[in-house]
Amino acid sequence: MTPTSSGNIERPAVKTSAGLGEASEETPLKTGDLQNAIFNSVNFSSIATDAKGVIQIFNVGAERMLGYAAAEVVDSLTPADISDPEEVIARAKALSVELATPISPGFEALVFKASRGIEDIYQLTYVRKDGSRFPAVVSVTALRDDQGAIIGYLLIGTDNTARKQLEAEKALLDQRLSDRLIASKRANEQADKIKGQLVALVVSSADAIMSKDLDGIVTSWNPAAERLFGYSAEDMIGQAMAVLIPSDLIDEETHILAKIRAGQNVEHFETVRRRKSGTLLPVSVTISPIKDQAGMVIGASKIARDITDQKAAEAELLQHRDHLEGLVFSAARDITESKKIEAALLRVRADLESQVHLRTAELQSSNQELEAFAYSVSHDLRAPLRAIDGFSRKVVANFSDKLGAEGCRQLQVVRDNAQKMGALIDDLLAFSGIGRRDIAPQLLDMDKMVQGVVDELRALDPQRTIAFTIAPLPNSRGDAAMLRQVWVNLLTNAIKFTRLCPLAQIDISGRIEGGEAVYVVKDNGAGFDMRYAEKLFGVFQRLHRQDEFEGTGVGLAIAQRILHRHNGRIWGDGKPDAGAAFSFALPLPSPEPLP
Amino acid sequence: MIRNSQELQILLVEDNPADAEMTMDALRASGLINTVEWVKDGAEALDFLFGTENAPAAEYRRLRLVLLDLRLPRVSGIDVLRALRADARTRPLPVVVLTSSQEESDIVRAYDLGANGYLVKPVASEEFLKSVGELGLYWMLLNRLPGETA
Repeated sequence: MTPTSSGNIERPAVKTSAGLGEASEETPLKTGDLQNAIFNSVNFSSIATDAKGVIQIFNVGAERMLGYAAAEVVDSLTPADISDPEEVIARAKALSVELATPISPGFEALVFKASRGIEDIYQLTYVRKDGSRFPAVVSVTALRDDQGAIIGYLLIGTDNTARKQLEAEKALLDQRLSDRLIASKRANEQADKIKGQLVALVVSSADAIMSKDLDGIVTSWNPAAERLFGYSAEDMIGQAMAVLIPSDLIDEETHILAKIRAGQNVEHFETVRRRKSGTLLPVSVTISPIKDQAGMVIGASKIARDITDQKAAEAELLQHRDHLEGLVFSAARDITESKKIEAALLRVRADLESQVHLRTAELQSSNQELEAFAYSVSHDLRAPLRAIDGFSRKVVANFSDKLGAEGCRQLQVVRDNAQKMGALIDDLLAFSGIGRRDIAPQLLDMDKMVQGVVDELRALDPQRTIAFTIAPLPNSRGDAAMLRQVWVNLLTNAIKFTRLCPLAQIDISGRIEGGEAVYVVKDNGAGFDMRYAEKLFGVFQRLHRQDEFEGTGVGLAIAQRILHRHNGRIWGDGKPDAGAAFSFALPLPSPEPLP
Repeated sequence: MIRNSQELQILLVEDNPADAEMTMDALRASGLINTVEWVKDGAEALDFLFGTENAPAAEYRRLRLVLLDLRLPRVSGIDVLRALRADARTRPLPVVVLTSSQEESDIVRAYDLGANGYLVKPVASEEFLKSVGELGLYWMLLNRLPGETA
């Protein structure tokens, strides 16, 4: 597209002064050249209209910016047709208000100010041929003839896109800056708040919080420090922290300052500080370096806690511990003592046991001797008794005519006593035999055994009428011959002592009780006085006269001896003339030994 | 059935004269008079049975019964019994122990050694006479030995 230089518009003469003051009348610019330069500029859109706004000139810059060819717009469009209609309307309204005159929303709105001689540069959105839009800055100038009458307008526009972008970026930057400022402000507020809280903490802390510089000079002093040490902030700020340190601990401050200068913390050490009053205060101290923004150590903060109570508690604990240790020690000593006593007891027991063993052996030995003696004596005694009886009988048989009736009777008394002594010896032998015989334990059917004994004893004296009741009996374990002997002896006694009863009654019963089988033989016979009960089981002990009930007084002794050998026991209950009940108990057969 | 009493002999080994007399009384009372040889201890009994250097006659051949007390001086009744049973000649000879001992152990030992009977001498004299008399009659008259003809 070539610039249109032809036109029927009378071009105004351009009077300009030469740039840089070098222009002179002698060298006037050629108007045509200037016009060409302006109109051919690609960076400006130069649009000239007639007085009504119809485009007459549309330069290369306009063609490039707006996408139209000059031929398409010249004599057909006005600048309003290539402007944002909304903006045109808005501008019309705004100008109408500003200038207090109705301005039509069209080309008039674009040039009205210029038509009144007011310089007018404004921003406007141009619409390209393809419909796309770009921001433009437009300068409007009215073209006048020599008489000053308006013959047209020149609108020179520049593409404002780049500037708009810059403006947008600037706005963005401004926004960011503003955001930062706001954030910074908030951070400051937060910092102020925290600082306030910290200050409150420091002020209200129960711990003394202080700071000092690297020379040990106090720079801050909170109320707790005043309470703890007795010095006010006025007393201390600017003074050396070392006034708090007892003279014997003065080295501490040197060490502390050395550590702080090295940037190290001094954590939780317990020490003693001196109050203004001179009294000493146990404290726990933590010291941290204070650094400036560059990280240089410029001083130290110090937190001190009164540990008087803690120390007292510790002392109390120590006291308790000492007490406990004392207790433990004394308990240990007691244990040692009791161990000693135990050992002594064990020795005594061992001595006793060995003595018991010895005594048992001695007793067993003397028991055996006694039994051998009894055996021997009873045999040796029996022979003379036989002779006494035998020869008394011979005397009576051979010389009864010479002895007479009284002589024979008296010799009969000799014989009766000899025979009685023989019976005593037999029983004594039986009794001593129980102790020497081995026990052959076996399971015993007591019902059967008792029935057998009862039958046998009844047969010995068929004339007697005795009512026997035999309840079912528990079985037990023992030597059959020996326990049969027990039943024989008890039942023999029962039969004997019911001899005088018109209705003899003998009841046999049994039960299991307390791990024992207990058997009872109860009769309604002569009974006995319980005052003599302990004599019942002694050898040759009798509670009845011989002329009442015969006997040697060995039966119950034998029964007791048999039961003792079975780890059992026997006892009797009775009343004179109201019967007797003899009971014996045998331990129940033990179950299988527990693993 | 009564045999020639002159050939029938009983050896009574008894150290107690009273017991010996009563025993012989009992035997006599049962009609076995003049058949008893009484020796007073075990040594004497063995001499009588097997003979000695001075009196070599072994009298066991003439015996039908030995009544043997157990508790004897010198050689005990048990040793006499053992000797009798150890010798084939006297092994079948009936030996009845006649003693005061009713000890189970004595009874068992006597039978172990081959005693033919065991009688505890009763204290009561009637009982004594009866027991010993019956004993003598049984062994002397009713019992039959090897080689004897009816």
